[in-house]
Amino acid sequence: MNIHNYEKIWLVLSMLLIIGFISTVVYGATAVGIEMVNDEGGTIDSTALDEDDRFSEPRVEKVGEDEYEAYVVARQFIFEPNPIEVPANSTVTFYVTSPDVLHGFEVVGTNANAMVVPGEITELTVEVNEPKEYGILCNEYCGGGHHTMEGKLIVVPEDEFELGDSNDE
Amino acid sequence: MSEQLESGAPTFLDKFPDEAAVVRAALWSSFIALALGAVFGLIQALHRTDVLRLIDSTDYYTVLTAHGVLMVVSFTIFFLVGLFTWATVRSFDRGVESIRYTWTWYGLMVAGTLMAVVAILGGFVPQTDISADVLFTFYAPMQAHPLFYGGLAIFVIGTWLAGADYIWTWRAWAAENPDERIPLQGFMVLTTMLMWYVATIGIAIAVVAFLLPWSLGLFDQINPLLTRTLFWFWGHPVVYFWLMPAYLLWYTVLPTIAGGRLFSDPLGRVVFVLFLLLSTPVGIHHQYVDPGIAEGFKTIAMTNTMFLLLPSLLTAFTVVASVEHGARQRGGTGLLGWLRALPWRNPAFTGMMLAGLMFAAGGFSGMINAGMNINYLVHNTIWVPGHFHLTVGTAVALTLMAATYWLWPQLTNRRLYSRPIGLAQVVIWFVGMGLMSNAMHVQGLFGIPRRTAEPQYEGFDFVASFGSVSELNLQLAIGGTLLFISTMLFVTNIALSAGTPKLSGIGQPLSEPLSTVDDSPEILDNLKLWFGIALVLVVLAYALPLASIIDRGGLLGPGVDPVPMIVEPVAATIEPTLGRLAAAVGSVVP
Amino acid sequence: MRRTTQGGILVGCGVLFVIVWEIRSALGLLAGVDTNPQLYMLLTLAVVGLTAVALAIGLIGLRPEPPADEDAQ
Repeated sequence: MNIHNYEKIWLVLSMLLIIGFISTVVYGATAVGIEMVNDEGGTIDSTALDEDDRFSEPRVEKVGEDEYEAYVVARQFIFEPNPIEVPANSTVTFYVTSPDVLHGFEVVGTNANAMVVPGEITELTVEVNEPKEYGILCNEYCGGGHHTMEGKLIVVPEDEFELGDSNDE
Repeated sequence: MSEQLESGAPTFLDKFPDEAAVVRAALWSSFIALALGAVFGLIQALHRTDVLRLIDSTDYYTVLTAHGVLMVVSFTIFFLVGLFTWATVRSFDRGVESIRYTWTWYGLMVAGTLMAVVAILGGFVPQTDISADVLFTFYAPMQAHPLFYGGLAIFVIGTWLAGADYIWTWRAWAAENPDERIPLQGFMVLTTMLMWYVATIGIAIAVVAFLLPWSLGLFDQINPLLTRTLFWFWGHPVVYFWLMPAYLLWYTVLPTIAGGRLFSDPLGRVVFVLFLLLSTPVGIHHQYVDPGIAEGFKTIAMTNTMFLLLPSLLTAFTVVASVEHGARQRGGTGLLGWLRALPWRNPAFTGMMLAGLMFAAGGFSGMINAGMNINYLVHNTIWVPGHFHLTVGTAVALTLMAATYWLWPQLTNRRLYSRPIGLAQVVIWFVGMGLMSNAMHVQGLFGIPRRTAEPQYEGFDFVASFGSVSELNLQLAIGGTLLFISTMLFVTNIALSAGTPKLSGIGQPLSEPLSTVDDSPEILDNLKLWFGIALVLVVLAYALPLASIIDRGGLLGPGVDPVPMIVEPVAATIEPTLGRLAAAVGSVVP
Repeated sequence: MRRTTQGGILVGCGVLFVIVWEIRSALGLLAGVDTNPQLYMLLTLAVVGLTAVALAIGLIGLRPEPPADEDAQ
């Protein structure tokens, strides 16, 4: 096959560009340690969230030194719990699921952004630093009230954080 | 007007009047969808930016569904079948085997479109229970009326029959010309349709095996991750199905309009074979942030996606080289000075070149999307519509409109009503898309979501790192308005062309490539081989993820009930929602 | 000296407008420079408008094409 020299040079440069892109992703995944949302969150019967002790009462739990788990239900057209309160300088793993349709779980202004699929549990681990209030929104169309679906993530100073305060009355 | 001097050659209409009628009908169907889609697009652009809200926000999603389906299913694919019929008949230089068969698949596609459109527009009429506010992606368990799924199925069957029509013509030609290589346009049509057969396996299973019977009530549960994955099995290659008509035009028509010849026929064939092989095993890159899919599968999709850049990068080279050749044929000289020798006053040429320029920008924002970990930042933000309005919304749409300015006289024996209006139209599109897409990309980086009627929230504001959100909204609205004006100018120009006098001998033969097919190995034309490899690659990419999804959630996911998407219940759902919201708020008050 | 055609001015200025305007986003996102939107838009329109006028009266512009090469069709 007859390929012009300029074309050969272009071909080589294109391949280098492609390999470069793949390398940046691999670098992000390994050296920086950005994990993808994957299949480890497990499955759940979406019609029976009430019977699941994690999601019957959506809440934040402490699971270790500076480590927290947040069980979140995204449903038409709210997030529960709301707000989600976590202490500063901690690692938070969100477990999010839906009893109805697909939703999105986006902490605005951060890269915490994942899909929520009924029947599946989305597991997403984030590091939170300074005390700050973040908006949470649903970024997957979920019905006529989709644009009203929002929540809040409040990162409170470590000394002001009290677990379960917002959950038991 | 030097580019359109009467050549004395016969046009496509002169040689194949029956086929020209089908092509015109398909293109008109496409333009009607484009015009309607543009109306809905304008409503959306003004609504979500809060410039002018003519409709209720719940109806926004009906408008959005209509805009998506009309633009990326009806406009693009009707144009494709029209163009491919032209390209097949022209390049094999023989009429279709049965014109009645050809009209049959066209009729099926029209019927399918009408069914889907009725289902969607039913969303505006609360008195009926017909609606399909499920957007273009129709993710279950949101449920549309069966008419919507049925319409889609019939439309896709129409496209399958169209593909069979092209293959039929090819086989009949091959029987008479056993030793000849497939002509380039025919090759592009056939590889694209083979890619389409591979791709539509996903949508056919999703719609026929699951969504349609489920919407008819034959069973009530569904595995949403399975149908979503099957959707994206088709949902990514379909973007190449939109793009391939534009590539066909860039490879085979643009060099002629530029006054030159295609740089390389063999490389063109390699590019189309690469698209046949790589288009489908990448769909999971739309699901980077989905639960239930292992990271390994996502990484494989990411790698394949990056390699899919190759055929587009090769195309960029070949197209620019061919255009430069044309410019030098026209007397252009210098390192870049040849650019001014090009026929910039010809709307067909300028439109395609501006489309190509924006495609370069769209390609780069696509590389961001493909980057698995940076995608977290932009997933489902309005960055994504910003990206695909550059690709399908400009590289494809503007190329198809520009090419129409060249093709239409070949189908009607009439000149275009106005070339200056045509030139203004493509420039207005470019400026409008520059504004709209720029605003969308920037808003996306600020976290503003896509597919949202009112991206303004009570509990928080979006933080703009420069300028302001309202300023970007205004930019988006102005851009959308310009695009609407451009579309109307296009459709009007074509419609008014029917009133110009009939001419004869305005045929425009296409030039031959510089490097001809004889420079390429014959194996390139072995379509069975490439089709086979494409199927194997799809099995490799999808067998394990699909098995894993079915293993986790079952074929019909337990515990997932249908959620019909009709406008009326929205009012009903908002009330309990408010109740729940109050409860949630109440629970945080000590 | 041949002046740039109206079509050429239209196409050139359309592309110039998009390029100059989008530099503002690049400045904002990459360099962190926040420019005043109204002022920047006026500036963009001025640059594009002046270019258009200069092209139209032949102040700047493309020289006429050299005679076509012999192999030209």
